[in-house]
Formats: sequence, structure tokens, C-alpha cells
Amino acid sequence: MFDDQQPIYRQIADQIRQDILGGRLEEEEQVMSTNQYAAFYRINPATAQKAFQNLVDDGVLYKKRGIGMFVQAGARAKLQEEHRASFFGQRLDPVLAEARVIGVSAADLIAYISRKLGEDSGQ
Amino acid sequence: MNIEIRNLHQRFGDAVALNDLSLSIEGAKIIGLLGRNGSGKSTLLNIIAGFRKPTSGEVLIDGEPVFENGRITERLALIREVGDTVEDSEKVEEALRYAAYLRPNWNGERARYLLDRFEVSLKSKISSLSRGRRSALGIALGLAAQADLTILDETYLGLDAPSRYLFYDELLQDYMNQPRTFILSSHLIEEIARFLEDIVIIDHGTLMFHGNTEQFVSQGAAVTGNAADVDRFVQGKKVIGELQLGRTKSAMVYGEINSGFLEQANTDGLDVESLGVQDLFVYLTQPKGE
Amino acid sequence: MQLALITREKWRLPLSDQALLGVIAAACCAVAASVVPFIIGQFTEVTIGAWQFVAAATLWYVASSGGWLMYTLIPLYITHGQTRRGAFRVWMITGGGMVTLTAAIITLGFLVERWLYQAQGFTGYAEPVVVPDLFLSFLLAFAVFWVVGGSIGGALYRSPRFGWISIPIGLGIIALTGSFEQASARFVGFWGGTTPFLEIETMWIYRLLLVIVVCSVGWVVWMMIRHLAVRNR
Repeated sequence: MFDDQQPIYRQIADQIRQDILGGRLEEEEQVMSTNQYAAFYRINPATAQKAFQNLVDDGVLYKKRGIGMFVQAGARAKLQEEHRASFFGQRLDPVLAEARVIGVSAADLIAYISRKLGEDSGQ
Repeated sequence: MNIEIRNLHQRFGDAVALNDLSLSIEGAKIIGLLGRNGSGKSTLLNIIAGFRKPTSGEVLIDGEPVFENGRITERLALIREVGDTVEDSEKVEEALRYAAYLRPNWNGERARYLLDRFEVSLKSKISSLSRGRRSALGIALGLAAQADLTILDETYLGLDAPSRYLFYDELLQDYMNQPRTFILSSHLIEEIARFLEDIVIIDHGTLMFHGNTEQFVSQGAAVTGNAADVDRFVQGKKVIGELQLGRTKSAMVYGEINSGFLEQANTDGLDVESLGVQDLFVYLTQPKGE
Repeated sequence: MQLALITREKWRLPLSDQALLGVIAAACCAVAASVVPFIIGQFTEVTIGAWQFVAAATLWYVASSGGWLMYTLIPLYITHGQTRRGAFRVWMITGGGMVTLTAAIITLGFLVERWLYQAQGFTGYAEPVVVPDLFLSFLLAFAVFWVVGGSIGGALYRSPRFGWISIPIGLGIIALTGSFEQASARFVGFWGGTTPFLEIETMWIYRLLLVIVVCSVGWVVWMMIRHLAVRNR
């Protein structure tokens, strides 16, 4: 679908969201500048700016005047909640659709998932 | 810098290079000028920089006519392909010396740094440089001029991929350190699209598109699916290209791709994919024959 | 003072190399013009001056300098963000300087030559030298050669296909002025002979004519380049 080929600013914003979720960016930590992002990804600084603006609008980042962008307190919990909300629809539905096409049964799926979750909690 | 191009016409004998082209560019941006060979790109850039007087029409920069206006032309740098320098029999350092004399904002240190990065020796004769190294000299002359408007017209010829990426990095660095207007003309669209804020497309001497790069990309989509379904879906839309493989068909559509468009395609069981800057440009300007 | 005002911040041409070359060439000529007659003088009587040949060569050197400067200055200036007007101004000022300097050097050369010949006892060639007259004549002759050279340079840049037409026209202008101009008539022999205005009383008329020729050719050069397009590479 169209969403597979997102504009670059969306991809960069998503990258920063993933960094916060994965703990690579701490809350209240300063984010690299738009210029550093632009140089790293070889993109126009305006594009990086747009990604930051997107995150500010979503309450993930906030701006300290004259200093730069910082991760909002509580941003991780907020992102986790948002991603949980879309997890089943956006991530799992395509997998289930594929399973149906190739004939994987519901029982097999459930068995696989329980085994995986069991392994993870057993470690 | 504010560039106002009004009703430009340029004829060369019977041939029309520019046909009533009007365009206005504002702000410190990196702008890509795209067009096929012979579309009038270089002619337009020559006129913007005061290298040529148009048959009719005018170019105003910050409200003043450009042609023979030293106050304005001193703020412009147009580098054409491998760059205009002194006589080819002279050395690279001579070219820098002349630029230092003639450019009010010349940054000799930057020029020498760039030439060093591109591995061009100051002592080399210009005529002995390879095409890529000459391009590198052109890039150094263009960036070190630190002009308010820097135009690079296909200043990449002969440069290998690593050198081109070095060029892009240095250009971005220059732009970020000292925001000013850059106009880039290149056939390597895929490589430069990511750092173009705006895009200008000219075709057969007329303006075809001017606007934000993302806005441009969002106007082109490939709709793929069962041929009959695709045909029904694209009715009344502007189709700029078609591909068919067996019963599967892709139609390239140009226009507003909104949520209604996407929903409709979804219900019809059609795939919608973005075309990207280069493919969209190719479909829009491909030869149509007579 | 006036010159400094015109050129302040607009003087953007490195001329030191060319000036050095000119000084070296002039020194070589001076040495040759004194050594050759000295050697000849050992065997036979010297009846013609050597410096006049230097003067004739210098005229052509000035013409080619004017042409070369015009041909290279125009594209260099425009492609480096300067104007045609700026290039033309620098070409004129350079011409003014070069013409004055060469006229002075040539005049001085004739004076020194007389003194050398007298010292060596050559009596076959000893026409008197009237300094202001000679200097003024050469000044005008050099100016004609400079503007004609410039017009050829400008024409060749403007039109690679038809620019050559300016060469016969330019040579015609030089021949025409040379034929009634004191310096050329006396020192550049091949078209000389008829010198109708050589009477002292009417000299000012053809000097005035020469000034008009210089101004007109200069004006033609400006007309030729004022809307010029820089050539594609």
C-alpha cells in the first residue's frame, strides 16, 4: 500500500520513535540537531525539521529555546500505548491474512505463539 | 534571495528554447531544476545569471533586473558543467587567483580544502585534468564563491560515485553553515532528490511543475491490479504511463492522491504505490512522438 | 587620482605577470637595438636606426594585447559575476596605461638611440627628435592599434564563424590611419610614402582624425559586447 513508501520525514520521525521505545533515547535527553540528522541521512535540513515538528505536535519531543530538542517526559509510555493500540490491526492482521492464504491452521498459530511466549518468559 | 522570472522567451533562429516561462523562487532553499536534454534548462540558468540576454522577458532578483547589474551579478555564481575558468593552459591555482580577484565573497581556504578533498593538485594544468577533476574544480569555484545564489548546472560530469557523494555532503554542509539559495540541475535525480526542498521541472521550454518535493511525489502513483479493474479505476484521471504484464496492469496516475483515492483503490482490490521523484519525472516528460 | 577613483574596488585583474613580461621584452629589444648597430658599425656606416623596428613590432604587440585581453576578459568577467561594462572599463583603463607607457618607452628609446649613435660617431642617421611631437604621434598610433586589436578580439569571441571579417577591416583601419600618421609613415615602412598632412601647420587635423577613429572603434567594440552572450563550453 501507499504507506509502505512513506515520505522521508515520516520515516525519520518513526526512527526517533523507535529509538525512544527501544531505550536508545532517554526521556529528557537531547536529540541530535536537524543539521546532524540532515548530514547523516543526506537529506534536506527542512525535511529533518519537518520530522521534528511532527514529533513535537505528537507530544514526543519538546523544544528548549536556543538549546535544541528534548524527549518529553512520559514519551515512552505514551508511545507504547499508541503502538499497542495499532499493534493488532497493523502488525498482526497481515500475518493472519498470509496464514489464511497458505493454509496455516488457527491451532498451529496458537501453539506457535504460546511456545514462543513461554520461551521468552522462561529465560 | 527572491528570484522573479517574467515571461521569458528565447529563440535561437527558428528554434524556441524558452516559451513564455514565468517562475518565482523565494528563500534560502536547495532547489532542483529537472528537465530533459534540450528542455531549455541551461538557457534558463544562463539568463538567470546574466550570461545571456533573453529574446524577451526579464529576470528580477530582489526586485532589480539582473542583466548588466553588477550589484546583483556579484551575488550570483553559475557553474556550467565542468566550470568556466581562465584559459585551459593555466594552472588550477591561477583559476583560484582570478576567482579571488573577481568574487567579492571568495573563500580561498574553502576552495583549497575542497580541491584537496577531491584530490586536485593546485599545480596541475587545467587542460591536463580529467573530466571528473575539472568538475571538482568547478564545484570548488562554485561553493567557495559563497554567493547568495549558487547555480550548479550539471556540475558532476565525470565524477565517480564516491566523489559525487562527497560533493553532496559538502554542498549540504555549505547550505547548513550559511543558508542561501542553491539551484542544482542534474540528470542523476535519484541521487539528489533527498536533499531537494523544491523542484522545478521544465519541458519544451515551459514550466511543468514548481513546488515542494514531497508535494511533487505525492501527486504520482502507480495503480496496479487486474487490467479491467485498473482501466475502470483510472477513468477520468490523468494517466501518464501504462505497463501491462499478462492480465496485470499498472497505470501511472498524476494528480491529487487523497484518502478517497486510496480507499476506492482498496475496495477495488488495487495496489497503489508511490512513483518516486525520478519515475514520476520520467513518465511526465517521456517522448510522446508527434 | 581620477584613475584611482574609477578603479577602486573595481580593479580586478592581475596584471603583474604581463607587466613583467613586457619589461623583459623591452629590455631585450633595447639590448638588441644597441648591440646590432654597434657590430654593423665596426664594418660599414650605419644609415638607418634600429629602434624604429622595435617601435613597429611594439605596435603589433599592443594590438594583439588589446585583442587578447578583450577575448579573455569578457567571458572571465561575466562567468565570475561581473559585468560586460566592468570588463570594458578594465580593458579601456589597461589600454590607456599600456598605450601611454609604450609611447613613452618608444620615445625614450629614440632619444637614447640618437645619443648612442652620436657617441659612436655614426652620422648617416641623425634626424632631429622633437619629443612632444614624437610622443603624441606614438600615443595615437598605439591607441589605434589597441582599439583595433580589441575590436578583432571582441568580434572573434562574439562570433566564431564571422568574427574573422573584423581582421581585414581592422587592418584596413590601421593602414588608412597609418598612411597619414606621422609615426607609422616614418617607422612602419610598408604602406608609407604618401604623407599629405605632414606639414606642421596641419598636423592637428589628422591628430584629431585619429582621436575620432580611436573613439569610434572603441564605441564599436562596446556596441559589439554590451549584449553579448557567454559562449557555451
